[in-house]
Amino acid sequence: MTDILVTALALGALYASSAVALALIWGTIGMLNLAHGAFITAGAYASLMMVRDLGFPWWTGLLAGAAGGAVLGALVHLLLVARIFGRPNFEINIIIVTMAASTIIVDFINNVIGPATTRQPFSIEGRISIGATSIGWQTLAMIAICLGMALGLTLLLKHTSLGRGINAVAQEPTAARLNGLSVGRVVLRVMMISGAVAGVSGVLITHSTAVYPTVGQDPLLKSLIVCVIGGLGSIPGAIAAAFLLALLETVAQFELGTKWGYPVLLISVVAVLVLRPNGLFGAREITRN
Amino acid sequence: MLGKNPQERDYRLLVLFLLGLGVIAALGPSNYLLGQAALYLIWAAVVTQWNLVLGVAGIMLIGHLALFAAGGYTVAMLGLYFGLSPWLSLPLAAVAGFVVAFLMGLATLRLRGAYTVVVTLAIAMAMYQLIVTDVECFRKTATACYSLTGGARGLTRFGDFGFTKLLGNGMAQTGNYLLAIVLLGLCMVVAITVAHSPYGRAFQALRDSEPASQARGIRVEKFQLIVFSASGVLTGLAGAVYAGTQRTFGPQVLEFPTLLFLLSIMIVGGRGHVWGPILGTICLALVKESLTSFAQWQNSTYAVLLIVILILAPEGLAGGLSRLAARFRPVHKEVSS
Repeated sequence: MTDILVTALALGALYASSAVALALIWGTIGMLNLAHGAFITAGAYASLMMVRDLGFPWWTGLLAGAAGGAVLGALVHLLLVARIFGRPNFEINIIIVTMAASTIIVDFINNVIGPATTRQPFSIEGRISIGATSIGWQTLAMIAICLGMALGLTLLLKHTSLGRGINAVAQEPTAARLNGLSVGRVVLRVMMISGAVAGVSGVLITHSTAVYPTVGQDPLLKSLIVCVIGGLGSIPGAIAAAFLLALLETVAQFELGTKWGYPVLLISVVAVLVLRPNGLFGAREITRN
Repeated sequence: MLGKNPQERDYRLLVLFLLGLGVIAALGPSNYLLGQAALYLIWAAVVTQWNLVLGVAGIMLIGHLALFAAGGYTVAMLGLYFGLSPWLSLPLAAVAGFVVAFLMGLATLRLRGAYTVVVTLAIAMAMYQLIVTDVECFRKTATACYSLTGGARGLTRFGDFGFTKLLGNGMAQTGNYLLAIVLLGLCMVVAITVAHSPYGRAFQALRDSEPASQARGIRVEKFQLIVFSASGVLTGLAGAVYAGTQRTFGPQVLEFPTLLFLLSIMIVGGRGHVWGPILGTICLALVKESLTSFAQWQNSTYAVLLIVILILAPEGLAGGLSRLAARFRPVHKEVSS
């Protein structure tokens, strides 16, 4: 029982950290970012290079992950988002274009860095015992970092001028522009923040899965499901849905077998959407065309 | 010569195009060429149906290849476990495609755009995961053990359309090629009919402005479901033809590279245009065949092509061609007709 809870908590923290990045972009720009998986992969590889190839201590991997994700976010913005933002069919076009972009990034890693599977050199030794079970420090640190990022993002949106700008663009880009806000710059920052958060979550995710070129695909799909259930674009909704789904998946894997984790998630997402088409926590309709 | 009514003109063009494809077979090209051509014709057929749902009916369907896989696996598994010839399992593959499409349509009809993308993509990926992780022993031979769905390796040796027996020795590829032409013809007839139907225009209105169409009382949900299901039938058939002609079927069709390749065909050809899938397939086939020495960057090439077309010419080849044709057509004739 405690095993299930601890596993679910760790998994939920990972889901939350990668899903908030996706939710942030959806909520502000109205774009479903299918290059999200590539941001995660970029973070993982940036950390790998920093620690394994350049020999810096393990914690600099997190910073490198953030930087790698942010750089990729900026690139995707300048090359793609900025060119089709606000044009007809933006909603579907951005999905197609970001999907293509993630393919290019996977190809790039395969051909330039190499297709080998490597271990993420991010590890803290030791365990702490709680009652009958024990948790590794590593897991605790991971949970703390994920929650810290999710909380930090929420605070940033609520209490800083950048956050107010992001909210203004999310609600009414034309009004934001008329009030002297550079929409392009706000969108660029959103992409970089989201890339950084996704990059760090990539470092954390790959510590348990190892690093390989398509490592971002699974977290992308999981984040999509989390965001849909939480209500696309809602950050608190995404955090709540992340833990809920992690618990559901862990229970399904313990009770039915490992391969059923994903199908159970899928059935739950379809069920939720049939009953509540805007997700469990989503109330506001967000469309932009 | 081609008629004034645009729908009639499209039908006649289609007949000419299919006849042209048939003539190529009579010129006696190599078996390799015929085999490759048959494969591209099947992909073109799949994209016509995907284009019908995504480009014409405006449903943001991304997991379209799940319908294709449903048809293909039906043929492969019935052939392997019940010894059914692909000819007999063709109708069942169509039913499989229909069922998956109908359920997908029901689940996503009330949803708004991006939610549809996520749900259909998730269904296709769940299918992929279930197949790839399927390692339980279902069928034992002397040397090895095979799972029900064939797992990551896919299924082989489930029979083919038997053209060697029907048409004579060495004619298997010709038969496959002719069958693929029939499939593409069928898919194109459906696409042309839907696109020129009153609902095709209603979809157009809905894509241009949803609030304005709703204000005029256009409701298309029911017809969207019908188009979705019909495309499921034909995509299931396409999957069956693929399985029967390639004599192998595996989870690779559900992987991202296949999705991206077909999406590039649709976008390069012109999303929402009836002739887009065929033009796109010709273009992408030329790109693919000229890049064989450059294979490790193949997917990136499609991706770059797709991005460039989507940003610079969102109407694609078909849109560009029709604008070009309009420029050369004398204006006064248009008025008098």
